[in-house]
Amino acid sequence: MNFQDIAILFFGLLTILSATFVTFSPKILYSAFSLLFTFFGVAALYLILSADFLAATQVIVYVGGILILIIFGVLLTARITNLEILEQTQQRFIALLPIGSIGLGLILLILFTNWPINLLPNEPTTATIGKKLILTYVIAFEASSVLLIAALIGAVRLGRERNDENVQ
Amino acid sequence: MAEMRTALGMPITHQTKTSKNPIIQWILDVWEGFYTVLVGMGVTWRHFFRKPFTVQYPHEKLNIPKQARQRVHVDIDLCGGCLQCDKICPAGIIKIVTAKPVAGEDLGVRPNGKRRALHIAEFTIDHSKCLYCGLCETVCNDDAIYMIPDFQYTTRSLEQLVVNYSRYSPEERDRVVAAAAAEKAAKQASKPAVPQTKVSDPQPNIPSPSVDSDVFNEKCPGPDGEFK
Amino acid sequence: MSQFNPLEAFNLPIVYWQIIWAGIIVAFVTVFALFAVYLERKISAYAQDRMGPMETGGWQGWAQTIADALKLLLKEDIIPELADRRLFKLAPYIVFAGSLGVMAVIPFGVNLIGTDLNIGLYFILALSSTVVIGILMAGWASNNKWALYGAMRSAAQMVSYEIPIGLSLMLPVLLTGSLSMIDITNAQKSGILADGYFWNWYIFRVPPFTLIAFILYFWASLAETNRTPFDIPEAESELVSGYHTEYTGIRFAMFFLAEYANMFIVAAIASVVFLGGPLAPAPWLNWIPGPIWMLLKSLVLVFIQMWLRWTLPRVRVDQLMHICWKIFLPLALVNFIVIATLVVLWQK
Repeated sequence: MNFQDIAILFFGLLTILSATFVTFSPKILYSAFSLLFTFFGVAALYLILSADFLAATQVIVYVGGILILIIFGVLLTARITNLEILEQTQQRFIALLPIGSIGLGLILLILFTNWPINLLPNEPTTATIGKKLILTYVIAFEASSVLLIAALIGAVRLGRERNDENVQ
Repeated sequence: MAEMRTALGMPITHQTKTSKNPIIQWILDVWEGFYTVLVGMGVTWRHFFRKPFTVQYPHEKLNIPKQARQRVHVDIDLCGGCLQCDKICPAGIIKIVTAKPVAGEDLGVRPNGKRRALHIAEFTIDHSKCLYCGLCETVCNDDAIYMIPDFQYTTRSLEQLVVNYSRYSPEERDRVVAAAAAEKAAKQASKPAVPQTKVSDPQPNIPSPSVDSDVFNEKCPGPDGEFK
Repeated sequence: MSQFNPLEAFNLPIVYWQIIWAGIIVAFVTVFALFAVYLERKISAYAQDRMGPMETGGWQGWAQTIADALKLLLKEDIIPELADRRLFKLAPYIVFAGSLGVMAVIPFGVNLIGTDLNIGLYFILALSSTVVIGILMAGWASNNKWALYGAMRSAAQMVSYEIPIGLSLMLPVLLTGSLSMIDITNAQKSGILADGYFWNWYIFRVPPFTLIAFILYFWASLAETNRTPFDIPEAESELVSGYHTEYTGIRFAMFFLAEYANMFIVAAIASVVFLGGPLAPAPWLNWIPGPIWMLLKSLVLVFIQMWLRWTLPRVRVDQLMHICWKIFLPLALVNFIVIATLVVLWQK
C-alpha cells in the first residue's frame, strides 16, 4: 500500500461520507455545504489519477458555479433554511423498480469494465483536452454551447416578462 | 455632470463629449470614467505630500488663545475673603471659610496694598465640577481668582481635584475659627441688652463655619458615590 | 542569482521542499499582513492630511500593527448564542485555506515556487472560487442580517467579476501557449527588439490590448478582494463590517489575514502575468535577485490598490453590476477575440 493508495482511499471515503451526509442531513443548508467536500473529494481523485485539468474544472464548475447557485437558492428561499425534511419512504415497490435497475446497471458496469491498473504518467492534459473538444467531440461541444445560449436567452426572457407586467 | 455643476453654480472644468452613435458614446463614457479616476488619483497624490494638519498632541500643542477659559487658580495672598466668587459660582464648588482676627491681632497688608481683614482659613475649589464659565474671575474685586493656561490636570481620583488654596492647615483653620467664635461669644455675653435681634440676625459676610461646611459637603459626593 | 534553484542548492526531496515552502508562505503572509495594515494606515493618513500611528514602538509608530495583532490573539473568542456553531467555526478555515492555497503556484523567482503546476493559472481561478463558499458559510452561520447581506453581496460580486478576470488572464495564456506560471514568466524574457528588457513584458507586448487587459484585471481584482471602490460587502456605513461582523479574536484574525493575503495574491498574479514577475526590467539590473523584483512589483500594485481605496467612493450595487457586465465584460471579450486572432495569424 503506497502513498497513492492511501490518498485514493482517503479521498474516496471523504467523497462517499460527505455524499451520504448530503442525502441524510436533516438541514438542507448542511447538505449544500457538505456538497463542497464531495466535490473536493472528487477533484482530489481526479488529481491522483493525473487528470489535473479535469480536477481544476471540477472545482471551478461545481464549487465556483453550481454549489454557489444551490446555496444562493437555499438562502434566498424564504423559510427553507429551517425546514425539517421528512425522511420516510412511501410506495417502496414502485421506487424499487428504477432504483434497482440503476443499481444493477452500475454493479454490472463495475464488474465487467476492464479497469486499467497502471496509472498514466503525470503529463499535461490541457492541450489534449482542447484538441479533442474542438476536433473529435466538436458536435457535442457546440451542442452544449447552444444549450447554454438557449438557457441564457430563456432566463432573460423570463426576467423581462415580469418587468413588462409591472410596467403595464 | 455638466448640468449638475451649472445647477450648483460650480465652474465647468471638464466638458463631457457626447456622440449620437451609441457605440462611440459607450467608448467615450468608459474613457471618461477611467480618466476621472486618474484625475481623482492625482488629487490624492498631491495630498500625500501636504503637511499634515494634525499635531502630535502630547509632544506639541497648538497655541491657545488668551481668552480661553481653562483651569481656575487662586492667588491666596490677594484674596480678601469677600465671598463674591462663592456666591456667583453656578456649580457651587467654591468653599471659603473666613474668620475675624482676634482683638489686637494684625494680619498685615496684601500685595495690592489693601489691609488683610480676615483669615482665609479655607479656600477649596472642587475642579471636577467646574464648568469654566469664568464668572468668579469677573466678580473678584482683588483679581485673586483667575484662569491659568492649563487644561490638562487629569488625576487618578476625583478627590485629588478638590484643591485647598489656603495657607492654613486644618489645625490652624480650626484654631482660628474657634478663636473668632470664642471672641464673638464673649462679646455677646458682655452685651446682654440687645441679644435677640443680634443673634437671630444672620450675618451674610461671615457665615458660621460649621453650617457652611455642612452645606458644602452635601453638594460634594465623594468618589465612591456616597456623601461625605 | 535569479537562477537560484532551491531543490538543487539544498539537495532536498520535493515533498520536504514543499512543506518548508508552505511554512515560508504562512510566515510571509503574516508578516505581509502586518506590514500592509501599517502601510494602509499610513497611506490613508497622508491622503487625509493626517499622520497615522506615531507612538507605538518609537519611529513612526512602526510597532502599532504588531501590538494590534497581539491584542487580537489575546481577545476572547466569542461565538454568538444563536449562531450555527459548526459552520461558524469551519468558515474561517475554508476562506483562509482558499486564499493561501493560491500562493503555492506563485513564483517568487524563476525557480522559487511551491509547485509549478502545468495548469497554474487555472488552479488559481479554481481555488479562489472556494473562498466564496467560506464567505457564504460565515455570513449564514453568524445568524446576523448584516453578515448575511455582506456574504450575499460578496458572493454575487466575486462570481460576477471572476468572468472578466478569467478573460483578461487568458490573454497572456494565449500569447504563451501555457497555463504554467513559470512558462508565462519565462515567455516574457524575450520577444520584441532586445531580450531581457521591460518592453518584453506582456503589459507592453501587444499595445493597447494587453495594457487594457492588465487594467481590467487590476480593477476586477479589487472587486475580488472586496476593496474600495467595490467594498460593498463590507460597507461599514451600512453593514457594520459585512460577513465577519460577528467574528472576534483569532477567527476574525484569520479573515483579516486572508483578506490581506488576497490583496497580495492578486497583486502577485498581476505582476507575474503582466509585469514579468521576478524578471528585471533591464539586463544590467540582473544582479538584483528575482524575489526582490517580484516583491517590489507586487508592493507597487498593493500601493496602487490602497491609493485607489483612499481616492474613490464606494459604488452602488447596481453600478457594480453595470461596471462588470456592461463595461468590463465587452472590453475583455473584444480584447480576447483580437488577441486570439492575432495569435492564430502569427502561428501561420
